[in-house]
Amino acid sequence: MRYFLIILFLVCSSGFAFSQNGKKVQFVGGARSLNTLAELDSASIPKRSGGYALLDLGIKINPNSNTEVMGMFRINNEYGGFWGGGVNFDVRQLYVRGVANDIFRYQIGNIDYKLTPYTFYNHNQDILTSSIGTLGIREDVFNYETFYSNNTWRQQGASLNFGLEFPKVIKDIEVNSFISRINSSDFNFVLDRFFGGGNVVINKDDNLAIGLNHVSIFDLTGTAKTDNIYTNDVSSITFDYHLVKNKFVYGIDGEYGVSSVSQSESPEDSLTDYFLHARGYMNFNSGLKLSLGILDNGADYRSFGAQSRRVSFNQENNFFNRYVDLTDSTEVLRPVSLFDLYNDPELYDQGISVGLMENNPMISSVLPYGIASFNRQGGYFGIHYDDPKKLIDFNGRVYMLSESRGQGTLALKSFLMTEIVTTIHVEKIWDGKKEFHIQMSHNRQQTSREGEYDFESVDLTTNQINFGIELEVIDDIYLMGNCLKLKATGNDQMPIRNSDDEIINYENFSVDGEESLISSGLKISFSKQSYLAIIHDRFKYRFSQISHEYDFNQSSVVYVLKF
Amino acid sequence: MKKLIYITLCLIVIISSCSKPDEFYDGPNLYDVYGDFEVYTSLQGSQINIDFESGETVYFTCELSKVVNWQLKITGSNSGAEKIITGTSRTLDEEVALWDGSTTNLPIFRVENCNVELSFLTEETDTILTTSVFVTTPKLNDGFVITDFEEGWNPNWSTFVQSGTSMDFGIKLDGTAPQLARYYNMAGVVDWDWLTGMIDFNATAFGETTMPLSNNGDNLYFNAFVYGDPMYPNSRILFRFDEDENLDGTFDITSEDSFGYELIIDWSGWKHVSIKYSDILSANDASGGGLHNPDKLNRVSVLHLADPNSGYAHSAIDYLIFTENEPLRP
Repeated sequence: MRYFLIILFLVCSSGFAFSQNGKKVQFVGGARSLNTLAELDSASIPKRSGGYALLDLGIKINPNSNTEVMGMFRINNEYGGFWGGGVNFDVRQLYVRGVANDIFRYQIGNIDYKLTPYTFYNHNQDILTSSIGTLGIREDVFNYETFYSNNTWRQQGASLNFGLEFPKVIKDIEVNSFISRINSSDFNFVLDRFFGGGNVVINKDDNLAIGLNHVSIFDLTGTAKTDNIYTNDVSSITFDYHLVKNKFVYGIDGEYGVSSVSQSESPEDSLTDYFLHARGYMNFNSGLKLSLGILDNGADYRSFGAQSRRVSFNQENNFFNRYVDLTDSTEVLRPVSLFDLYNDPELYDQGISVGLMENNPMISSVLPYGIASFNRQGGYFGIHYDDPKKLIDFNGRVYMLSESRGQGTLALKSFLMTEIVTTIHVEKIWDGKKEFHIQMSHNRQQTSREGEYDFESVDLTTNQINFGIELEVIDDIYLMGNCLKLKATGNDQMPIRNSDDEIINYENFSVDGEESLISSGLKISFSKQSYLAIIHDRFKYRFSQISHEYDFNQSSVVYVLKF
Repeated sequence: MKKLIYITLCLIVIISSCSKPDEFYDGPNLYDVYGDFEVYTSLQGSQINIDFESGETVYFTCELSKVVNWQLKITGSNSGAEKIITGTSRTLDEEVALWDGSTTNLPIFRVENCNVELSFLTEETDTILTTSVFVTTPKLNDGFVITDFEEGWNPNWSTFVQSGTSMDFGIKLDGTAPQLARYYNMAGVVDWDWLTGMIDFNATAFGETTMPLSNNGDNLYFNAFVYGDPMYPNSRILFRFDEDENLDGTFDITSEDSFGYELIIDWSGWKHVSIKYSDILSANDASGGGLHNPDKLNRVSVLHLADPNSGYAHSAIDYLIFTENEPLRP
C-alpha cells in the first residue's frame, strides 16, 4: 500500500509538466482590506493601528476540456509600506486537475481532501457554533485564509479518484486516493514523512453503502541517516443503510476501525486500539431530523489525520502577545482567548500535525479532537430542524460520554455537552423584504469525576453563549451585533505529556471567570461577493487564575471582494 | 417492519460490542502526584568509578513517594565542572538519570571526584540527597581536534600580535582552562585598529595542505570554547575559514572561498559555541563560488577584535574541534 502511494505521488508529479498549453483563461480570486485601531488597557504601548490590503489573483487555464491549471498569487501590502516596503508576493494556490481517459479524476499540487471523520477529517473543535453578524465576517475571513471548507485539510500532493458502474449486484464503486508529504528530510535525523491513503465505497443500491478506508502517516526509509521509521496506520469500515418511505428516511450509519502508531526502534511503545461510531437517524418530511448515536473511541486510538487540531493553544498570540501584569509591572504572555480565535487567522494550522496538540479545556473539554477524540465512550442525541418556510433553523446536540480509561486513577471522568443553535429569519413572519436574522447559540460542557481522594475530584463547567443579529435597515445596508460570552468555573486535572505523548504528570487547572465580547457594526453589501463593514469590538478578559484581567477595544474597517 | 427489526438488531449488536472501561490507567497515579512527599530509597550511583573514555556511563537511582520536578547536579570537585539533569518522575533510573560524562556548564570534567546533589523543585520539601562518584577517565569526544593547546605551540601555526600596550597573547596554564590544563589567551590595548592579534591554525600542522574533514558542510559543526571577561565586555572574535579550492597548497583570497563567523563576546566566563559549517557566511564575497568545501579547508584563523576606542580587551579560546552530525556535546 505504501509503495503504491509513493508511485502515485511520483506519477502524478511528473504529469504536471505536460499540462501547460493554455487555451481558455479565467481570472478568479479576491481582495481584502483591513484597517484596525486597537487598544489593550494594560499593554506597555496600549494603542496600535495597522492593517493591510491584499489581492489574490488566480489564473485558471483550461488547455482542453479535461484539464484545468490554476495558479493564484497574493500581493499583500501592509499599511505603512513605502515604495514597495512591506509588500509581500506569495504563491497562494497552485494545482492542475482534470479527467484522464474520461475515467480518472486527478489533482496535483494543492488538494483539499478528506475521507471519513476517523481517518482524515478537519474537525472544528473550537469555534463550536457558526455565527452571523460581526463574528460571521471574522469567520468568513479566517475560513478563506485557512482554506477550511467542508472539513477538508489543504495538502500539497496528489489525488486520484474514479468510479465504476456495474449492471448487476452492485450499483457502483467509488475509489478515492491521495498522497501528500507533510515534512521533508533534513538529511540527518528527520526523514521525509508522507501522508496517504484512500477508500473504496461500494454502493450496493440506493440504500446500502459500505466503505473500506485506510490512511497512513509514514516515514520513507533512506531519506535521512536514521532507520527509526514512524508509522500511524488507521483502517476503518464505514456503512450507511437507509430506507425511504414517502420521503421519510430512516437508517443507520457509522464507522468502525483500528489504529496503530509505532516507531521501528521502540516497538514496545506502540499503541493499537479500536474505535466505533454508530448512529441511527430519521429524516422527516417536515424538515425535522433526529439522530441517536453511540461511540467508543479507545484510549490508545491515534489518527493524526483526524485528530490534528485547527488551533494549538501552546502558541503565542501574534497581536498584543505580551501585556503588563499590573501586580508587579512585569510583562507576561497574553493567553490565546476565544476572541483571538475569531480575530487572528494566523493562529490556525493549515496542515496535519503528528502528535497530540494542546487544547483549551475552557473551550473544548468534551471532544477536544472532534468526534475522533480518543478515550471517549457513550452516546449522543441530535435534533435538527430546517423550516420549509425558512423561518427558523434549529440544531441541538447532547453528548453523554465518559473516559474508557482513567488518567492516574481508575475513576473515570464523565462528560456532558449540550449545544443549541437557533437562527430565526424574522422577516419571514411579516413577509418583509428586508432581511432580519437573529441567532442564539449555547454550548455547555461539564466534566466531572469523583474519587476516593479529594485530589481525584474534577468538576469543570463551561458555558459559551453567542447572540447575533443582522438587520437590513436600508437596501443592502445592515446593522450587525454580537454578544459572545465564555464562562468557566471549576477544576480539572490536566495531563502533562512528554514528546512521545505519554502522560508524565498532571496540572491542577482551576478557573472561575469569563470572557465577553460585545461587538457591533455596519455592513454595506455591494453584491453577494463584496461588502464593506465597520466593526467595533469590546472584549473583556476575566480569567484571573490564568492570567491577569484586561480590556481590549478594537475598531476595524473591512472590505471584502471575491470574484 | 422487517427492516426496522434488522436495524434494531444491528444497533443492539453494536451497543453490546462496546467495551468495558479499562482496568488500568494512563500516566502516574494521582496519589503519587498529590500525596505526601517521602524518600523511599536514597540517591545512589550505579557505579562508583567511571571510565567515560571507554564508553562507560553511570546512572542514579532514587525512589520517591510522588512525582516531582527534580534536579540532579553533578559537580567536579577539582574542576568545578557542572552537569545538570532535570526531570519529572517518581523514580530516578537509567532512563531519566543517565550521565555519559558530558558537561552542562564549563569547564569539562577531569579525572576527579564528583559530588552529586539531588534537589526537588517543590515547596513541600527542601531535602537535598547527596552521593559521589569518581571519574577515572573523562569523556572522549568524537571529532577532529584542531587544537586544545595541551601540546604547546605548534611551529606550523602562525601568529600576529599588534604592538599595543599590555598585550598578552599566548598559551596559559593557570588552572582556569575549560578543557584539560591549557588555553590560549588574547588581551591588550590597540587604539588604532580593531585587530589586536590573531593566530592561524594551518593544515600543515597536520602534515597536509587541507584538513581531514568530510565534504558535507551541512553535516559538519565547528565548535570552540570562548571566554568572556566580565570586566572587559568589548571583545569580538572572528573565526575565519580559508579553503584551498584548487588544492595547490595555498589559499588565494581573490579566487578561493573564505568564510567568517564573528562573535560579540557579551558573556561572562567560558562558553561553548557551535555553528554548522554550511551556515558560516562568506568573508570575501564568495570569490571561490561561495560553496562550502570543508574537505578543502586550508586554514582556520582566530582574530581577536575590539573597538579601538574601548580600551583594554580580553578574551580566550580553547578546544577548537569539528564534529559530524551534531554540535559537540562536551
